[in-house]
Amino acid sequence: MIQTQLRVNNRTGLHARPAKLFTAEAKKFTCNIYIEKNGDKTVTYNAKSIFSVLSMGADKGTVLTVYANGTDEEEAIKALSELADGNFGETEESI
Amino acid sequence: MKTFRGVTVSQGFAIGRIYKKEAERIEDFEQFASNTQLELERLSTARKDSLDQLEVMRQEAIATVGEDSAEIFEAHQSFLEDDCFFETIEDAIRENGYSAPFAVEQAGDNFISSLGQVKDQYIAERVADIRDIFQNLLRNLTSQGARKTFEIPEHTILVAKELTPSDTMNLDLRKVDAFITETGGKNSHVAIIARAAGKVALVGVLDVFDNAENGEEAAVDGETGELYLSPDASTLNSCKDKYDGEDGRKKKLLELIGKPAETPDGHRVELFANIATPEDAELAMENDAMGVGLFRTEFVFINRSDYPSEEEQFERYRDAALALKGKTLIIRTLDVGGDKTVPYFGIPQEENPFLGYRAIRICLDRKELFQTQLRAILRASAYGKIKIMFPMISGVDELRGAKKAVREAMESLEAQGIGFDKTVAVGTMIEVPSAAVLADFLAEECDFFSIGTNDLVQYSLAADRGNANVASLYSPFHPAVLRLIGHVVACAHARNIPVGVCGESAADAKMIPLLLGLGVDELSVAPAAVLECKQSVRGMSFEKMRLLTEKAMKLGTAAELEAFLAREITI
Repeated sequence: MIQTQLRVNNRTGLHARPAKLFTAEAKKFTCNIYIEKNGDKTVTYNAKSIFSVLSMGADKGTVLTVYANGTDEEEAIKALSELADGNFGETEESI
Repeated sequence: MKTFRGVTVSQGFAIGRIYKKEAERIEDFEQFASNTQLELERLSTARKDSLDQLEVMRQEAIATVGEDSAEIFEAHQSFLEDDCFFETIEDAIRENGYSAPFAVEQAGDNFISSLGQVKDQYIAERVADIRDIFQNLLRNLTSQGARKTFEIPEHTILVAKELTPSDTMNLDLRKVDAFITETGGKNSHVAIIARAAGKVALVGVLDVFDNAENGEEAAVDGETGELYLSPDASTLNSCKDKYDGEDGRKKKLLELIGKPAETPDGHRVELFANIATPEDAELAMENDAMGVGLFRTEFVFINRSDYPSEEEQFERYRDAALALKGKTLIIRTLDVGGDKTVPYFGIPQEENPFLGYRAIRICLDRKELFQTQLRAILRASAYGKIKIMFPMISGVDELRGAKKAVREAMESLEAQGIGFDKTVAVGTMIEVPSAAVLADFLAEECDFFSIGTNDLVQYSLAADRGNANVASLYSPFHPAVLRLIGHVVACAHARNIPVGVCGESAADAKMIPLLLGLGVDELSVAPAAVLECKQSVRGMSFEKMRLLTEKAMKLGTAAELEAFLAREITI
């Protein structure tokens, strides 16, 4: 199992379209992918579930710890990190 | 007179009568069920039905209010495709012996209350959308039937505690003059729909539902965010003044009805509408479209469990032709595959559906399917001015194959003595770059072109705009796309055939001068966008459009082009 930390930097947070993109990306991999929000280890969220990701309520500035466990875990972490680095496809001016 | 205040999320003014949209009541259901297997099957069927209905609503939304407003239904689809979530519902059925509707309702309530903990405006605005998903599932589970449309009178001021996306698709938007809701925000679906339809909308109007009465006279002032119930004479007058004066933009648009789609220096453009159903054809006519440049026939095929018969198809095509009263109706043959899936077609999952088995490729392969549709279209051609258009043509072979199929359909009809228009025109959609490059050859063998910019852009730039990492590469203003369009027009005009554009670009006020400057003869846009499009056409001389295009074609990047157009074109 590997893990990484991502920061939600886009203005609207991990909502709606960004959340959809995030789960769609996660679903491309066979490994299990779980998320903790702001270091809170009591609740984990399933990266492949749009319901789960939305209920996390990750605003701008939220730090996500992403855990991946499975054969393609490295690719998964890499892909999700890139998505976060690219602000989930949102530019600053888009609402 | 009673005054209520809310937040204006779509500008405008309205005077009309109240119609209260009651919240949907779901029939009672049992909490427990003895046959677990049966409940799991019910859940699975309801989920599938909901997905199918969403596809229909998505297509309707595309047709009536445009692609952006349809996005919400795509989002809904992604919720229903969430296996993890449905597994928790299935577990509740298995472990607790719950009935399917109870398990769904509970999962929905839990999820919505967990969203309630999220202190975020955007999420708060999504609650109506989420509720909509569960309501639709429950409707399907309680056999209340899929959708219930409701009838409203003209000049309705629609009042609701909450309006779901489905609600907005289940009423005749044309009859609504204002939307008033107690909940919601500027990103709520009702706000998006209202802006797209150009109607005033107030959200966050507290306690209005219980205070308003059905049929009561009311006035809405988008400027102040106020709703007046049974307004007194002076309030009514001041609203009327504002309605007449401030609402000039819309009135100005309406004044364009009956006026030609013509530049100030007399260059005429064919201004058509895109439709998905015969009912849309009426909407197109009301908005003064000169015809239909794209009839998406997918709509006839989706949301059903088996192929539509020739007779069923014929009736739909004929109804559209009749609604147009002799005006041109360009029917695009079936364009499924890619992102448009129809379960009963049994098309296997593909690694890369946009480069896969779709549109004309399926039709040329499944001859019977194609013959049925072509016969239906040809039979309808006896009732109006129908033209046939083939999607996703990539080269001359496919065009010849499609034309051969048309000839076969004609021969079979002739043999049976069934009437049709023997001079029916056939056209090629230019959306694959190879077709654009070979436009000279294609122009030799068909009667018109229609450029589908959405696909042409994504194929030319090899960029899927739904993919966040590359979406910024997707731009209709890319010089490569404009050169392709210019080449297509030149090839077509050299052989005296006309060129239309039926993608989203045709409705873009910054794109219109370029398209016309490049020589495009016809624009086809959503019915609600026809008049605005006409305004753009009438707003600039053809000479200026050509000069502008000439300069624009010297720019080497999409960003430079967009910056240039932003300077030159003020909207």
